[in-house]
Amino acid sequence: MSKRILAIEDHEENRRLLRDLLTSVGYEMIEAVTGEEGLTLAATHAPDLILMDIQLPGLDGYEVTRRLKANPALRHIPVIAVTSYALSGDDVKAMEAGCDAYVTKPFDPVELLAKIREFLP
Amino acid sequence: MRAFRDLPIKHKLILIITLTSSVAVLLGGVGYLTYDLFMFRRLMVRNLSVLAEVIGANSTAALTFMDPTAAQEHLNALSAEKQIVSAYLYTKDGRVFTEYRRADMPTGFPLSKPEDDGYRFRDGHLLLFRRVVLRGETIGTIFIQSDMQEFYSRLKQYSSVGVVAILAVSFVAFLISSKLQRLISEPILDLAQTARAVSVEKNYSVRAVKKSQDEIGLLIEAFNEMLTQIQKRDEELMVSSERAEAATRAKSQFLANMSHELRTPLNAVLGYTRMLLMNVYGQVPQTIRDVLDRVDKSGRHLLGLINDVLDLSKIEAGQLTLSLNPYSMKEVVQNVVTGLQPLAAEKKLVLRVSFPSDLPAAQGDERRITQVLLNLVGNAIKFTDIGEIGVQVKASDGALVVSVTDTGPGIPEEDRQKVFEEFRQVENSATQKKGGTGLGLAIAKRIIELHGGRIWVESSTGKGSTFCFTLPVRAGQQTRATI
Repeated sequence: MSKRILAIEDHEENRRLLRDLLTSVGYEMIEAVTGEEGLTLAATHAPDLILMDIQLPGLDGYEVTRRLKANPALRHIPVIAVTSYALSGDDVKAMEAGCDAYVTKPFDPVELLAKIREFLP
Repeated sequence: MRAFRDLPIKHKLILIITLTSSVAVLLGGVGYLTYDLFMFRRLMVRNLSVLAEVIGANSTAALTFMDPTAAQEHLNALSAEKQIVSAYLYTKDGRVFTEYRRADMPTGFPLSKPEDDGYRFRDGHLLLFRRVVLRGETIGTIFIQSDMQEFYSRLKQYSSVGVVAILAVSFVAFLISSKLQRLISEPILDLAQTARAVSVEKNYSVRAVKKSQDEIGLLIEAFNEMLTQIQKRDEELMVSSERAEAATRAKSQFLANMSHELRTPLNAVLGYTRMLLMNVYGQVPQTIRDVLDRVDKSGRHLLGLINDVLDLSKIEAGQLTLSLNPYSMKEVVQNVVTGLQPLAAEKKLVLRVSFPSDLPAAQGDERRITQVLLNLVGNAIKFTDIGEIGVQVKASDGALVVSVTDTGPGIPEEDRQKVFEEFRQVENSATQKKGGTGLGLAIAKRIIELHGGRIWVESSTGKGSTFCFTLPVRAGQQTRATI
């Protein structure tokens, strides 16, 4: 059975990009546009991994991650933060919020896949 | 005089008033004394003359009848006058007829001849001659010598009274001036105090209190007026600098937002390109791959530009904070050199690194320091066509000094400062073809300055350039880099 990845990403083009990439290598991808929706899907669809955009309208990625990691039923799910570019300091904040790893935008597809495979062997 | 000039005003006032009063009393006293002693001398002469005349008149019979005993009696009457030292009665032809001498006087007075009517002061004595006249005819001469004892004791008395008077006046003047000097010194001291408070506390809202309408009152008024003007100007400056800062922040915020908005679609462009190259969408023929490579390269260049603008605007908006942690400069340099080695090798350039063995562990924002060094070494490789690039680290005086030396074309002197200004390279067509944003050094400068360090370039045209920066071993967050 293929692994299920939840992508929380408000930008449609980026969701499509992720979908194309992840499905091309055989993952199943479910999508959430907002942080709130992401939390709901994480609870209902039991994803194996979450790709978390940091800059989201409403609840941002840090907050969503904190809530996921505060939930005993969900905290085992690895969260990879997709941060904006390095100098912003997003990566440090993402790790502090409880993310398991981060990739910086624009992500290199090869790098992203490698990162995902660390958590989903 | 110098000591007087440095005295406090109150002491000066007291001193001036006391001195003036004392001198006035002294001059008055001396004048009075001189006049009084002059008059006293005249009185002495007159008294002696009267005495001489009386004795002369009494002695006419004795002289006429040549009766020395009677004459002696008359002279001896002088013993009642203590100041009379001696007296002589001369006959008409100048011989001594009788003489009187005070008991304490030695015999043999050296005076031999009678003189005309008159007196003189000699050796502390008053000498007086008076002719004895009977019916218009001179029948002898009387001579009396008086000492000046009374005169001198009067002088002594006056002097002591004078000294006491001057002392008393000085003392009283001192007391009065000590009280009255406050009228002048106090407002000045108040003003000085206020001025000091203003300059020490930089508080321009205080005012000196004006108590009088005299020159000091005017001075205080002018001082307060000046304070008001300074205060007003300060407020204007603050308002305009706040306005300018707000404008700068707004501009930087706009740039930050803008570059973020630009990056989102660019992410998609780059992502799709990479995925096309990965054959996610099916096998891509080589000719198309070459085009996609170019799209990828240009897209990355565009991304670099946007990132640099974002960096700079963040720094200028004061939004960039350092995350200070222990780091090893040796590792930073090694990582940078390892990362750029392929680029150097491509241009057949040698990359040399040198460290002292005892490099201290430092504190700073490792990632940003890496960014700076990547930029400097990257530039060196970019601009050098032949030769070598040297990276040297030294520790001195609580700071790390890192220098990156190349054998490139060098930088003309007039451009050496400009290279650290943003967008400089973009303006320069000679270096434009080398690629890059022209923002790297501007960002590097700000990152180094945020650490409390300094960056500069040494260069000689044609021989190469050395970019150096210093970092405090234990860097603290600087509030703001110079912009």
